[in-house]
Amino acid sequence: MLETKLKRILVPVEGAPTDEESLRLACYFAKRDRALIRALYIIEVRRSLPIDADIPPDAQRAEQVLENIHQMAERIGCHLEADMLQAREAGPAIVGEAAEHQADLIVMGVPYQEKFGDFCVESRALHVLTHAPCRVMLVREPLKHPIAR
Amino acid sequence: MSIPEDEYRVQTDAGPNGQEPSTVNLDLTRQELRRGTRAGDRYVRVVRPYEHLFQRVGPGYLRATEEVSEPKTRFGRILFKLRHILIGQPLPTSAEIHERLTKVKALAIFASDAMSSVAYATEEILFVLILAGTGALGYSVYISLAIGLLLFVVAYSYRQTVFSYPSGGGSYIVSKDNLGVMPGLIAAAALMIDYVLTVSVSVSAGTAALTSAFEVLRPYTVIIALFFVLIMVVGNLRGIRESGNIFALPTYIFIVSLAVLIVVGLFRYFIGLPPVEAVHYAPPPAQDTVSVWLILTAFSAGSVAASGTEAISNGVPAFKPPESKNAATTLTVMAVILGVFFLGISFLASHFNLIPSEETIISQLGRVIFGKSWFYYLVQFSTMAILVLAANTSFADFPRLSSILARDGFMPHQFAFRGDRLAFSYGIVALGIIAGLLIFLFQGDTHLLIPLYAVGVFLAFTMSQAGMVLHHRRVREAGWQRNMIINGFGALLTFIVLAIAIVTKFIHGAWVTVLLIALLVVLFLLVSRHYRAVATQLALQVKGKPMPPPRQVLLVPLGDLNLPSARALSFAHSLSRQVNAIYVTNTPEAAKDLAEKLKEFAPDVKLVVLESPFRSLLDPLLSYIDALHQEDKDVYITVVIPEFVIAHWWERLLHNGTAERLKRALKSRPNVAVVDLPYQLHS
Repeated sequence: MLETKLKRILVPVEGAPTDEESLRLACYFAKRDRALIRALYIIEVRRSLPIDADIPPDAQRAEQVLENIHQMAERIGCHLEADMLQAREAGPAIVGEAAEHQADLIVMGVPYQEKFGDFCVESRALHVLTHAPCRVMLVREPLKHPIAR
Repeated sequence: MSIPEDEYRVQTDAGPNGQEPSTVNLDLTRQELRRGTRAGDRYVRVVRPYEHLFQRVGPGYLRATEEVSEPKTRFGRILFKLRHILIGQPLPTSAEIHERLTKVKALAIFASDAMSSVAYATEEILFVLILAGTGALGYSVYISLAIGLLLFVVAYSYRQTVFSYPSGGGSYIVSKDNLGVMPGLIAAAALMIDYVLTVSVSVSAGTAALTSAFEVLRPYTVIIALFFVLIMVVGNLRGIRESGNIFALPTYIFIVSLAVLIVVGLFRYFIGLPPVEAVHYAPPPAQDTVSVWLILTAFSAGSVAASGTEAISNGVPAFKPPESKNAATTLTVMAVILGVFFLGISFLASHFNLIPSEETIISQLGRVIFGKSWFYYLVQFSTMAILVLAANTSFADFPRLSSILARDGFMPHQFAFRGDRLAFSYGIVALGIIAGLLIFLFQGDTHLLIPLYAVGVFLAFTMSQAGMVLHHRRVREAGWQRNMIINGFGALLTFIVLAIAIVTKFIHGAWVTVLLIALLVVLFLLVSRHYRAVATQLALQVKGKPMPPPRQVLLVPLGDLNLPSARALSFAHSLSRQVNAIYVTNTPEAAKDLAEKLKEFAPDVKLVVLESPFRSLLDPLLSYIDALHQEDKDVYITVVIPEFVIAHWWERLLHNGTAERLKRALKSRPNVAVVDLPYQLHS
């Protein structure tokens, strides 16, 4: 799995159950290759507000999620940097950060979503899959109810 | 709204004179506008450049990291590192965990104090009885039986406390809750003295166990004892107070080795085997006859065996659930072991005709029963260890009690602060110093320290038990009458022992304890009076309304017009439209010179010259400020002091430090605000 030596790994988080699995996976690669991990939390700002608007409840939640991520990383035994972004949509911000920081890998969690009865990748992950300049790994949450097919 | 790339957010308002608003963000974050990979993609990155110093918890809420406390100078860093090596890495408050103890671990932690007293209690009885000759030593068994009964009553009474105070029922809390503040303070004073003496007595006795095994160490008794105290101070500052593992091994080795000693000793005695090693010390010449007085004195001397029984009632919350039940069971087990050991040692000492001497009774028993074999050394070492650990119980309890008293406003507030390792550092250091001083003064002689001991122990017992009687009457829980009778009997019995201890030991040193308790109580009350007076003065008189802005006169004392004073004038302008410069001089020419300079540099600054024909600098300025206050009592006088800070300490000798003296003098004047504007000189 992933023969290339990684230098920078980006882990977008959102306070979902998949955060820990994504982080564990990133930590596995980071330990193997001595790579740097950057966790990102993106506050999606409504179009009715300026993009740099101060939104205390969202900022507080972001701080909380990033604090949890720090603690998780400490438990796992790896070091990470964590940043907060504000964007209209999370996808372009993740791709932008990956490009600017020359990330080699993005590890992100995706929820299980269905559209017209079929699984579909949510827009954030889809944008990253489509536009990211580096490798992308998705960690999909397990099914809540097994699907009978 | 759009913001240009890399522009910082502005949150502060403009100053009173319409100056440029500050661009500082109080949350120590800044926002950078970034462009995405596709045209039109924009997002904001929230940058936290000071994350290594302050973690942002939420808007307006920052949490300092460990790096904040790191000193900035090289010497400071060396000291900081040395302290870390000695005391350990600082712990955040969130790391405070209360280890829940099993009964096995709790017995080791809380019982070491009580059980260790068997190492010297029998000896204390014998030391009194020997005054009436060797024939009187036989009474020790009966006296020990009486003390055993006392122990049973005290332990049974404390079982009630354990159930009634599941959050911890030390004598201070129980007495204060039920008898009132004053009895609570008396109990607290008695307890504090008890804790100090526990350290001194236990460490001295532990050292005696060591010097009994290795006579060559006897001349170094005080040094060894002080070394043990130092180790405990450092260990406790590192935060070892609740570490069950440190206590468990030595305590259980002591229990097992002493049990083996007593069982084998009894076996040898009843079979009629001769001593393995003959131990005989010449008894001192008889100075007294056997009398009720002598017996009572011996009883009060031996009653120290009951000391430490209250430790479990203090620490009920540390037990695993059900806390009270587990604590009560541990208390019973402890009392049984303590009673059996005490009676066993007294019985064997009496029947092997041991004479109290420089060598401890346990050491003599060890030699009689096992000779100087490895087992003898195991007994001696485990005795030493448990005695030292018993002292450590006080290192957990004294700082905790001091912190409670400090929280209640009866001791300096510093005692309630937790140090780097979450331990109550002030209490630990204070206990170490006082106990060390006692060891030094009494040359580590347990026998000399014991008379000071029993009064504090039994006064705390009596107050606590009496408090419990009122508690049962007030709460009226199920079976309250029965519980009240048990605690009432305990209070009566411990009071009798207290009275005996005071009467029989008064001239031998108990007066010191009585005096110290009285002094401590007075001290507590004085401290409390001070804090109450401070609180009254600091309390907001009108709640819920903002204070009206004060009228202000702004003064900038000048020595000359130089860079620091120019900065001060400029800063003063940011505070008020009207800035007044004050110049104290003894030559009118200098004043004229400064006025001209000022007219050119800052024409809107009003200059007030205070001529001082007697060459005093500060007095005219202070009198001028006082006079301004006489004119308008409610006016706030803000003094902006320009000051230059020298680069090296020795340069202080070359300057007269007027700014420092002025700051000190202004501090005691009401309605004067001092704004110090330091200007750091380069080396």
